[in-house]
Amino acid sequence: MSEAMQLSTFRLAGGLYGLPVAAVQEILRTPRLTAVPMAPVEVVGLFSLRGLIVPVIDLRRRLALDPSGAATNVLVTRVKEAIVGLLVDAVDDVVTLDQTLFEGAPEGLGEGWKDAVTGVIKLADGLLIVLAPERLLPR
Amino acid sequence: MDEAVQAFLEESHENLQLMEQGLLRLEEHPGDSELLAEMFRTIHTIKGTCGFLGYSRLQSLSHAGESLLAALRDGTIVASAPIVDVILELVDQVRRHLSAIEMQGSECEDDAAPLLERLAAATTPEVPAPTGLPDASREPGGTGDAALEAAPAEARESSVRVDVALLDHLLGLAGELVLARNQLVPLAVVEENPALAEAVRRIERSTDQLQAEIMRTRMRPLDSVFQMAPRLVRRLARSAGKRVRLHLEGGETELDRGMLDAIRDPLVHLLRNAVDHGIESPEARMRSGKPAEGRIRVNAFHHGGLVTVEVEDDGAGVDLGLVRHRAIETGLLRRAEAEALSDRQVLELIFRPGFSTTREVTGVSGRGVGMDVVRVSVERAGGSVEVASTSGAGTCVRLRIPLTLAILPVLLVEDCDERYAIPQASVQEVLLLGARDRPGGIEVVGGLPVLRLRDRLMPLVLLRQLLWPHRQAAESDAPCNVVVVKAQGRFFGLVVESVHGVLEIVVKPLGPPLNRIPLLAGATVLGDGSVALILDVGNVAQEAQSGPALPELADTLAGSEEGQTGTGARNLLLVRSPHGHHAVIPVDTIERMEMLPVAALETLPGLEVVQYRGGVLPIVRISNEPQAGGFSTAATPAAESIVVVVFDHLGRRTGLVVGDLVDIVEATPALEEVGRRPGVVGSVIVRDRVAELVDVEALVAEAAEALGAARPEAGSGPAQAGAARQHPDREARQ
Repeated sequence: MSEAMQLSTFRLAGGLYGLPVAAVQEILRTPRLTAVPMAPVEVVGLFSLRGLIVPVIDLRRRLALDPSGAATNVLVTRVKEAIVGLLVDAVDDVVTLDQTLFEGAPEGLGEGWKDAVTGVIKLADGLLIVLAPERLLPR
Repeated sequence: MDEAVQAFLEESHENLQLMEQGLLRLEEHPGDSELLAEMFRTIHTIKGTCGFLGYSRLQSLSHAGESLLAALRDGTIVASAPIVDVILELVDQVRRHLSAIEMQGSECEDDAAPLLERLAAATTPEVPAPTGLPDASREPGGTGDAALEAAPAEARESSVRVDVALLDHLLGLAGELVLARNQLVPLAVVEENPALAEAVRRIERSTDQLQAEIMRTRMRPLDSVFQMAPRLVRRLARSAGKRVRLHLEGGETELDRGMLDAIRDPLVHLLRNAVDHGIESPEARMRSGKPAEGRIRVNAFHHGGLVTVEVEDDGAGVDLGLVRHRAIETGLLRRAEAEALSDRQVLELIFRPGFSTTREVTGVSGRGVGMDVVRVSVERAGGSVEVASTSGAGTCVRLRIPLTLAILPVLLVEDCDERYAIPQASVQEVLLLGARDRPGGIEVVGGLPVLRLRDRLMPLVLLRQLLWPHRQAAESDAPCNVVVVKAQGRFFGLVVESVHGVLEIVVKPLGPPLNRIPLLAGATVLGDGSVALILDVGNVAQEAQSGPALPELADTLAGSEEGQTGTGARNLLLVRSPHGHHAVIPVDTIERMEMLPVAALETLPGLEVVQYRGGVLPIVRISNEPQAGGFSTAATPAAESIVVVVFDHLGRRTGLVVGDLVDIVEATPALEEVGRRPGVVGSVIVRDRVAELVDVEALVAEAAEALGAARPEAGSGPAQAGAARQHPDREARQ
């Protein structure tokens, strides 16, 4: 007996990534961001989501990927009370997958990846990397 | 409010409710001993607590009630309707006291005596119906019933307890509504639909009202903080052997509850300082010709979107010499540094952490936690502190605080395509500097840009450089704006690209990890929905400290001024004009100084004159004085006499009306053109103040001309001329 897991997937620097659907509150076109001085590099700015101040993380920088690339969407994640926007190239889909496909994070991941990745799912056409939304915001 | 009192109030409200319910049951079951015992315990609890808290009226009332309930419990009397009535009345009166304590901190003025009498009477078994209560169903008992229906309901309504967090949330939502409204209004204009336009107008109005009303729910009068002042001052004065009269003004000024809490401690501190350091002993006051009783005035008022609270005393003023001395003694400054400081800079020293001029630690103050604590707490609440002191005449500390913690008046500026909000309380002024090479603008001292502004040399901080040190600065020759900011006792100029203006914003906190960025105090959502960051000016000031610190800057200033001394130092008479600002007159032009009765002034067309030494003395005033600024609280009462400085220039006498003679100073009039106009050559810096240098020659010439025009036969005594008044320049009489 296997459980289904629902992931919201998106593209980033050529790769496919996913977040638990429950953690994704909404998806927006990238709004105008207010840059924050002295902030950690991956925090690209702030925007107001119906009056809430939401910090936005550039996932390319967070995951040390090629920083050049046009981000079109912000994925707004909500874990407990913390709302964080994630800058992604493009939103892909919502997929329902069998839990058994899920494998833990492989050994030997580099800095920046170790704590961000909960596991991988092998799909027919490549890997789907599952991220831990609560661990993307720098502490 | 004291936590113990708060707890007592809440507990007592509950207990009173129990009492009421119990009383109603008691009417049905007059002999219910368990119920009576419970009610006895309830009133006993109230009695105990209010005795402990020192509420004597409540205590005597509850004591009487306790006796009555004890008699009921012991069966010596039976709970008749009149007795229940009198207990209900007791409950009502206790309630009134409780709400008075809640509202004003003390029991209300209700006369307890009649009720105490009736309670005592009811306790006596022989009297079946209490004497003071002739007809229980109608009179006072009747009102008791009415009170049950009306008063407690009213009390309940007026004392709904709402979590402050809920109010904050409501305020936030109202702020959102305002933003949405702002976005809606232009859209409605485009639509050209009358029905929509009307609906939007109504939304507009309601939104504003809603925001204002929600704000009001958090507002409380300053009185709730002022209350503690009389007793505090009385106690402090008594223990210091001083006589002090306290004047409280503006207690009705309303402030956000959180803000009240934020200024309570600073206010206590300032009052302590005023009594302990400010007001002299009665003997010392008599010696210096002051009334034995000192005066402390606390005054609060709204001003420019902020609340100003002034604590002013007529004591000895801050002894600047002593401050200098202590600064050297405690190793805060080197001797040379201390001596190079201007008076104002010395005054700033009292805000340094740990600074105290009192050697002896008294029970009152002098423990080295002083003005710095005041400043830190006020600035933390988004406010600012200024102090002004005149030796021998007193000290005035002025707190400027925003009305609320949630809504902050800010100056919105723009730099590098981002907008930033600077709390208005710390903004002193905004300057537009033209081209970079403009004289009197930016200078470089020790490799750092500084701005010479009037008597101050202040470090300049380029906002862009501060916030984005690694960004390549775009070269621009555009005129730059300098926002002069004062925080943590230092002035500095924040250079920004443009200034948008003042607005009120809703402060939103930044979450982790951004809330640890010291330069930022939060963020806000602007009318167009974009986010602006709020600068933490205190920390920006710290950052600016990497520029020349105060003493070095003073050295620089002193150094640059020394270069000029020796050439043309003059004796100048420093006067305060009737409008309260300062002017200097070269002493060598002055013949005499006279005090003349106002009644002796006579008016000629275009001129005032007075008979003086067998001739006619034309009287002039400096025209178009700028607004009395700064800190002069010197009232200008409708004086009966005026002080006139008499010049004798080329054989022609002229009198200039001045407010006060302050002193004779030796100074080098390093003249600046600021304030130049007829009668004023320009401005000079004397004793750390800007003073206007009086143009004696021009005044004398002008007076002579006016006199000649008015009465060619001058000298034979002025005519009574009630006709055409002087030309408007001289209308500046108060």
